[in-house]
Amino acid sequence: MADDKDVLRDVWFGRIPTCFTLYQDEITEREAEPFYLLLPRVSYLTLVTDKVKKHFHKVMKQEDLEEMWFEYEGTPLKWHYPIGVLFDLHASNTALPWSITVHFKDFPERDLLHCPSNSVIEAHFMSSIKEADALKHKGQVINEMQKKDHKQLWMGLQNDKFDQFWAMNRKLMEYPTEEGGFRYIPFRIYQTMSDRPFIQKLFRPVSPDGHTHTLGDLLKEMFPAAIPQDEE
Amino acid sequence: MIAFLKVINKVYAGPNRHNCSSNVTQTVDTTPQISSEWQTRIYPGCRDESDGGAECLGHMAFSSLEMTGEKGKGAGALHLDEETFRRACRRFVQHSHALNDGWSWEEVKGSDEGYMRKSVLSPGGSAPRPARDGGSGPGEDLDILGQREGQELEDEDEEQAGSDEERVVSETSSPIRYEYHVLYSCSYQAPVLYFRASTLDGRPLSLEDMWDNVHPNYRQRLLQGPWDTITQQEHPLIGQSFFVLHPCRTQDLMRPILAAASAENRSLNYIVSWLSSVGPVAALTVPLSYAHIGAAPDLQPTVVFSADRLILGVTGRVLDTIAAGYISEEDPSLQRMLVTDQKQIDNTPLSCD
Repeated sequence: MADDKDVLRDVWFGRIPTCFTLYQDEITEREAEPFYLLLPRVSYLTLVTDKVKKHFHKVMKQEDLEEMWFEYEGTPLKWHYPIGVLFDLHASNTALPWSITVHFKDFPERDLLHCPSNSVIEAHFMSSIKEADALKHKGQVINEMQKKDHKQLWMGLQNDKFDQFWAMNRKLMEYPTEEGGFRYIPFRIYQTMSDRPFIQKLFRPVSPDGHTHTLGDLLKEMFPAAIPQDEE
Repeated sequence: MIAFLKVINKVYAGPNRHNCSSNVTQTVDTTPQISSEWQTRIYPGCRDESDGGAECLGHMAFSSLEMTGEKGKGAGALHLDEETFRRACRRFVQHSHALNDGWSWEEVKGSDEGYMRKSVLSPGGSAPRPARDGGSGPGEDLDILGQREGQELEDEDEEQAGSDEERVVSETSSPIRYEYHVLYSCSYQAPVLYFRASTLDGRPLSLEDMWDNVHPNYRQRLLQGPWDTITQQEHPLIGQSFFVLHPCRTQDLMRPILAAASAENRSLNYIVSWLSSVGPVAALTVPLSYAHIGAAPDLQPTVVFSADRLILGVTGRVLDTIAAGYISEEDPSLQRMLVTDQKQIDNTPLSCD
């Protein structure tokens, strides 16, 4: 892992400049200025937008405030996807800053999960970590950790502390050298063009004949449409 | 114990036995010869493999479980592979069709995957004790058993009657649609229960609203740590928002059930045992007649949980026997099952932590 540290850092500190604008039909007492933020790619929208909420609350009446949700060009944004995934999925061709619309009414029940508190985000985050470890190590690493270790992972993410997070996450990323990789590689291929939100299957890091799989191998098997035709 | 037998009677009388619904509990003059016949049926010894044939999903499930055991820690090796999941679901749906119980298999467009689905319309704001009456979902129990029988059960079980009556009185709100999906999780190699409820105009119910319909035994556990057990998540196949009973402890839940089935050479349908065990958390119950699935005609018993967390190792024939009052609670086999179950009640891992 040690030699990856610079890459891990660069991924962790990836930021997306974003402009939050209040939805035009929201009722305000005075004009709502847009709000600008640098969003961490690895975090969750509802975890890093307290300031956005406070900013717009100031110009709105209490009775007009329901649960805050976000939308980009008509698509409700799923807070439970990492911010980087949302941006790449919906807005990778857009000019920066990324322009997100903020709503306080008409929560799209079918499309979005509710996020009443940070503990809901934490539960979601931990369940992702657990599922990944179920694939990587049959859940043995995460289950052997203590409650405070789980908390450290979460606090590392919540407070944007790279070292705190990776001191613990390192254990989740280890595997015995002789096995050449995890049991299965946790991955999801997100797609926008289908009701089905993502593709997720079992994928071994090493083929039966001992050759190490690449990302290209994975895409070829799971989502051949992503491979340009002329490559063959 | 007596209450337990009564519940069985009611439940089993449900789906297709309207006539014998009330004659059950009083016939306790145990006939020994039937009891011993039952003994031989429930312990047929080492049965020929061919006996079960394609019906015998449990054996398939179990051999695949053993296969996925790999070397590591044997304790965590009880997996359900996807093919076995589908087969078990197929049999479950077939039986549901026969019962008119509402389960179907939904294919996902453009893929080879799918899930098992059931939608239930509950007449009132909350359904009367869906977990106990043997109906297969909130609201349906009345249709199946008839109002009269529901009343009768209430009279018999004073413990429950009070609170339930209160709820019945307050039931004046609009109908509620419950939806249950059973999916396969390749990460956990286990089935997962997704569910949601809404009013007819589409307003979704909160988890708290839904708990009104959950059996008290479960409700208490849920209140201890609701978000450890159930979270709101995106349905991985249709992308909508559902509640999910987290699968990370499913193997722990199923381990003793599968082990007991294996030790006694009983066949078992994983989906029946699992769903009847976890369903009540979401106000869903599985009628006991599903116990027939996976059993060769009335010989090989399967395991079903009742809503009261009692394991019933039963064949169709044994169910008949119980329904007729022929098996007494002193029967050693039944006792043993109940003992197993007591441990289950205490150890059932619903929570993730």
